[in-house]
Amino acid sequence: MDRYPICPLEELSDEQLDNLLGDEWKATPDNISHIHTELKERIQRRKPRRQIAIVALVAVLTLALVGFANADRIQMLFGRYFGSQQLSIYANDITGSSTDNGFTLKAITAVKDGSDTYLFMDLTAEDGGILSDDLYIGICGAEGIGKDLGETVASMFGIGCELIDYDEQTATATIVAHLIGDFYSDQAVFTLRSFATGEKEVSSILDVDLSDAVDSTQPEFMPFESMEENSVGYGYGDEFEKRNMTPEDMECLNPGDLQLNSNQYDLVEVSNLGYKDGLLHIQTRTRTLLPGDRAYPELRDQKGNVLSSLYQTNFGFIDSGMGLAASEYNEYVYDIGSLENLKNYTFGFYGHYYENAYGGKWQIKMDVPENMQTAEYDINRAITTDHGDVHVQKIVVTPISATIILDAAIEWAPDVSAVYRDGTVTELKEDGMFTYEDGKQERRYTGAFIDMAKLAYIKINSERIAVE
Amino acid sequence: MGETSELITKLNKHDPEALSEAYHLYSKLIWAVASGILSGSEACSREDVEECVCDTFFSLWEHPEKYDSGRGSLRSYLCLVARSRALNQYNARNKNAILYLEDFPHEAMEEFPQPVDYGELYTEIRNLSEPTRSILIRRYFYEEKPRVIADKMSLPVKEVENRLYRAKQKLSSILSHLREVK
Repeated sequence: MDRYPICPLEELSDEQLDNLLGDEWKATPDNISHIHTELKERIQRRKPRRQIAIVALVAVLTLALVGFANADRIQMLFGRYFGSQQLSIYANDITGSSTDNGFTLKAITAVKDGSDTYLFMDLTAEDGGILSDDLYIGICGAEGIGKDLGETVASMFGIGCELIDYDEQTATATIVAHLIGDFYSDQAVFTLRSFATGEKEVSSILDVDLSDAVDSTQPEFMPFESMEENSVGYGYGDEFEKRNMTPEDMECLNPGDLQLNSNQYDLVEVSNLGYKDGLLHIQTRTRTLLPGDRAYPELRDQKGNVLSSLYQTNFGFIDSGMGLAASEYNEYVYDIGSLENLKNYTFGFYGHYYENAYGGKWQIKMDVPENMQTAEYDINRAITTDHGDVHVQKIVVTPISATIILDAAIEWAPDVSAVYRDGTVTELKEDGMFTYEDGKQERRYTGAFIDMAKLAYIKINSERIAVE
Repeated sequence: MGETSELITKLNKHDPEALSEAYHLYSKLIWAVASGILSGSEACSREDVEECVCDTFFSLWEHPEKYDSGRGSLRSYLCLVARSRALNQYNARNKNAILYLEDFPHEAMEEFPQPVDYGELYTEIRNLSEPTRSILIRRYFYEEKPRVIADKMSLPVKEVENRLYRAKQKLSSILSHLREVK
């Protein structure tokens, strides 16, 4: 195992460090003190509390369901993800597992907070598979299903997946899928279609003189009418509008086969080039579509500055077979002044991609988990803010969230915190927002364990609203 | 308590006092590591440095098991974490001028006769005039490549390389002399 590199700054005294940084950047006593306070507050928010009397009975019952063998691990995972091990009393026993393409997905547990369900799972590499702590979850989905375990009742609005633990010895990644929406059923299924590991940085300039390449092509352009038949879409920025250009004015290159790519990154290549009416057209073709590919083409000048494209269009279709689909061809249109200037530009791909990508179908079928403890308060009160009055209709509090329900939608996020009887305040972060057709709006706040037994107020901006 | 196995043991038991002790010992160092990277961008502020320092120690609190004493000292480990987080922060604020860990190779000091006394080297560098002083600090204390230094200081790469070359000759001679005197 490599040793940690020694940082030369380690060898300097505090006085030398201050001197080195200068007045503008050296750490002041206020900085050091402020960070320490913030650090202690963060730890406090993460620190498990010793007692929750109000839910003690539920704890006994739920632990009996989950089984003591797994209880320690669930506590550890909940401590890591939610910031409180005591939330494990709300763990539901989920037992499904699924193996495909050399990997096994196995459910650990789940908790449900209203329309938000958190499914904890282990993904394990069987013989020869590569997993690592940079696991990227590609395509996944969840839906409520009918009793015959086939009929879709409802699909989730959204899903966020997060890696929370990785065990090198067993090649097991522990992930949490945050499923947002209602199942409208007693049963549900989670499906994983693709994932990837081995993140690689891409900073790859095509080793091609663009001027020569343009000269060597005799590209044919298709007018907007033809593009409309083949195109998936187009987009443009402010500069395009400022020039009073319209999509109908634009032409794009016919699909070409130049195959200009780089050794470092060959998932996408330049397939055609052209210069017409004072504009440079660069067409790229996606050869391989992989989950987590975030390398983007950029045209750069000699100083490395990126020139934004005036207009983009895309057409064709490529299916990865891993639940991913995208346009096969993308075209970028630039104004480089004149064709002579092209020798001053390079074209390349920049960003990240994953070198090990896996597709398959891993499914966890489960009974929809029981909701955790929930307290709902009718408020019907207007609070005054810098943005004007906001009418709070209800507040719903659970051990992991506070949701404020407003009579009318607002376009800004109020500051929300939990205030306890002993005066301590825990700031919460907005996690999601939903506006109903009748204009009512729900705003959900999470980020810390909410000790409901000791909660006195929910504070919205500067106003405290009693919730005891 | 100092950097002892006792401190590490207590960190592994999530002892808040141990974290405070680690913070007391290394906060200025970690601040210097983070601000060295973030101060090179107008898009970054002192608040970004504060956040980076806080993240570094919070990461130690959450995952003390990630520190492996067999691979080196706790302060080296924290410097590594801080550097990585500062780079992420820098890149988030400067999407058109991405920096990579490879831009900070641990090779600069190999240019001097070994072993190098960093304290003395800094004292000598401090006596130089600008912009040579800043170039040398970035090269030998932040281990930035000449290209990165040139970008951050808006200087031609050639000028950075020339100044490094000339200063290195002079510093090598001074450091050798100091070592002989000792």
